[in-house]
Amino acid sequence: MKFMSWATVLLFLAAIAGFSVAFILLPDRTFSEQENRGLRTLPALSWQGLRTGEFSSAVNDYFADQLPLRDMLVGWKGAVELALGKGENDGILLGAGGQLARRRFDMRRADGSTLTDADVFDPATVAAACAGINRAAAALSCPFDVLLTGRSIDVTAPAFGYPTAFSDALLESVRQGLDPSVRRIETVSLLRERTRAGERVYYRTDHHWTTLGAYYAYCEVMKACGMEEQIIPAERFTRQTVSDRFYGTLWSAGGMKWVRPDTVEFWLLGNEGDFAVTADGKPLPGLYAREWLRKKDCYSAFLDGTHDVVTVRLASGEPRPTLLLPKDSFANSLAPFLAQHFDLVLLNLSSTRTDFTDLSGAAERYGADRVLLVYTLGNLITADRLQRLR
Amino acid sequence: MVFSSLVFLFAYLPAVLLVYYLSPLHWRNAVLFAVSLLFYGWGEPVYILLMMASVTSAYIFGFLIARCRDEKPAQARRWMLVSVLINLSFLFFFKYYNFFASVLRLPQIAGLSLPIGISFYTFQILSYTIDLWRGETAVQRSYVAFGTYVTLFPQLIAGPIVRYQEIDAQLARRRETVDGFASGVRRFCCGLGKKVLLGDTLAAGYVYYQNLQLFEPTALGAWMIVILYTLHLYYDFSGYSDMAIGLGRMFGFSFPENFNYPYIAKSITEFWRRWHITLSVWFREYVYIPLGGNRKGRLRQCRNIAVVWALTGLWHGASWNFVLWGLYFCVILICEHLFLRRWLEQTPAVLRHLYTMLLVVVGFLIFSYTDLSAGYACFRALFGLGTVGFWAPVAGYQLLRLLPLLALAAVGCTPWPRRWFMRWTAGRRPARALVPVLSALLLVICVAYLADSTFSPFEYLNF
Repeated sequence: MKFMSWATVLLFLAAIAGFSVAFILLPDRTFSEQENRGLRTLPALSWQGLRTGEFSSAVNDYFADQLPLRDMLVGWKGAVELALGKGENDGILLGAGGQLARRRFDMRRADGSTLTDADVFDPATVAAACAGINRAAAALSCPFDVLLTGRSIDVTAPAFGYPTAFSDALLESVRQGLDPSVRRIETVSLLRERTRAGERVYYRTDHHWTTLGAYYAYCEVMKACGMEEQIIPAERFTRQTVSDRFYGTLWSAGGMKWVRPDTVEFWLLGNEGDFAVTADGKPLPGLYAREWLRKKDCYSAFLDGTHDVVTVRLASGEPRPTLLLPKDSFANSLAPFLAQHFDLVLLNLSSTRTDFTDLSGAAERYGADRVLLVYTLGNLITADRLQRLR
Repeated sequence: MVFSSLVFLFAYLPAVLLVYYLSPLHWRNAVLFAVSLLFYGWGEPVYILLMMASVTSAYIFGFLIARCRDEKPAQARRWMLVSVLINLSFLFFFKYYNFFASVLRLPQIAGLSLPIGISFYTFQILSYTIDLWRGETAVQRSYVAFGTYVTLFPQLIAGPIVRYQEIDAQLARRRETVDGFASGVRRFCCGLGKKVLLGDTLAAGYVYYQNLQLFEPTALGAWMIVILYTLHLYYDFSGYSDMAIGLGRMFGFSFPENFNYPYIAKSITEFWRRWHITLSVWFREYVYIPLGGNRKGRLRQCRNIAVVWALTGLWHGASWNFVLWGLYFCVILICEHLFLRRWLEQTPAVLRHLYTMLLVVVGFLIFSYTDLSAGYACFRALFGLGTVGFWAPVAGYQLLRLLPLLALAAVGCTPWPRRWFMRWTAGRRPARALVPVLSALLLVICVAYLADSTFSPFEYLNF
């Protein structure tokens, strides 16, 4: 009995003291590549912070982020959650073939408040977003198309046996909310069909579509623009696998460390050197920024990730029709296809630095011949950008 | 600070254990007193002053009561009442003033927040004052010992409510042993597991269904809300009590039990003997029995039950739903006392259990909704009223995903797992050797959950 007691006590003390000592000795990290986010560091002590309890909650966050063995422990938690039969961790579902999808979102309600971790959507928020699109459509004098891209869960639901009821209801409220005059390019059901047929149109570990998925979307955009006959057939591209080590955003958030990485493809025609690309006024090497492929966030290789304004033109200066894309990151892998036909101006609607919600003003400024809104349903139900369109 | 936080586990607890065990014996109460104040002040430093005012007043009045107790009982009674009223007035002001002001249409005080644990420590202080007046305990001459009793961090913010006479001797002399420490470790890890792995996970499921009900209300969703909440509350609170008892043992204290498998009860009367035992005992000792208990006829007994339950309801919070909740159990307990008990005795056990759980679940529905109209909507939804149907695809999908957790949680509420484990390890040395490893493993898995989640609410902190 005595021996067991000593063993219990010593193991317990070793565990708590081990973590404490490692905590003190190990240097603080400022960024977690695995989780793709900044880590919180020790907050400054102030009487005000102490009095309001802000300091103690910041210290709690600091401990969670700087915990020794954090990455391993987060993986353990994911494993236990799955062992409990939940099939998900932190709102990320794990499905057949290692497919991941975010199921729960911090959903924005019509009054501006947030409902955390919900897989529903507020119809009033959707209606307000549609009203914003309708307003922008009425103000624009050039052709305007709307491509609301599906969330991973909308497209890959069959991999989880997850009901498509809410996805379908969301698409239906968008359909009802938009004026009949607004041209909507529908890709969700098409891409869901392609998933059922066994094609990988969305990444397994990331919330974006794959280059194949983007190609299908490109075909739909071309049809909507009345340029069906100019669509470049898939077989004309050289499909180059540029990374087989892509661990995407869902992998980071889901804590399921054993899920295999994705591969990333560039679809090349050989004329990629003909384009002059700028980001926020500075020139980029081209449509692809290959240095990202050596990092975790490989998707940023398309158009060098997040910038406020990206332009793509022919290096020769030969003018082509200008397509203005108010967009989020889904447009980044779509842009290389569209660049074959248009001069592009991409405006990051999600930007926190610049407000791009005045579409007609932007169309005028950039001399747009067409406007194509590319925005994901995930952002539509969680952010307020579309509601503010004009 | 709460036990289920990384700061507590990896900064506070190791430091406190180190300082405590390095201190000479006669300093140990002072160490506990000091670190308990630090524990309390971590989230709300300002309210330390309030707590110290309570402690100091009860300490001083203790001398006055003790001096008069034998020769001038009437004077001792007055001192006792003054002390009780001072402490109750703190509780009343911070917890109930705004509630009663809104009822009586008096001006409200903005920014009046509830000091953490005030209901718990006030009741502990009252037990000292009353025990002393009754002559059931001697006056505590050491301010440090008395302060340690009230502020002792394991039970400070959420109980168990330790009556002074239960711990008086331990304050003066206690033996810290390896066996005691080890049993404390096992109890603490077990409680942490209950709270973090089950309590918080069940709470997440409960919040999920609440969100779902806002947009797609179903009868299934309403049932999931009440079942998940009922299970969550047990794991949350009993887990916290286990941690408190375990921590107490690490420092040589023995606290009273707070839960005894409440969900296996076969009547509401029995349920309340098994749930939050130290609160029920407190009300029995200091309200019910002084009012006459069951010794003065049926009518008086019913009145006494009503008084105790009005107070129990209000103790949990200054809100109408708690009043209603107290009334609800008051009516059931009186009915059980008057006639239901006889009927129940002739009913098969399974039906008695079903009867009890249904009433408990509805009780916790009232308990969980401070907004009465939202609570009523959830109650109606249990019967499919005001819903889109009994079932919907996403609500059903989530149910399937939660079934293993629900089954685990349901079995965990019963004495069976403990019984199986004892039977399995009896006479098997290698199996018993697993216990230290399992405790440490449980701790590490809980740490993994704490590292990955900011969602760790604790219900009883608010009472």
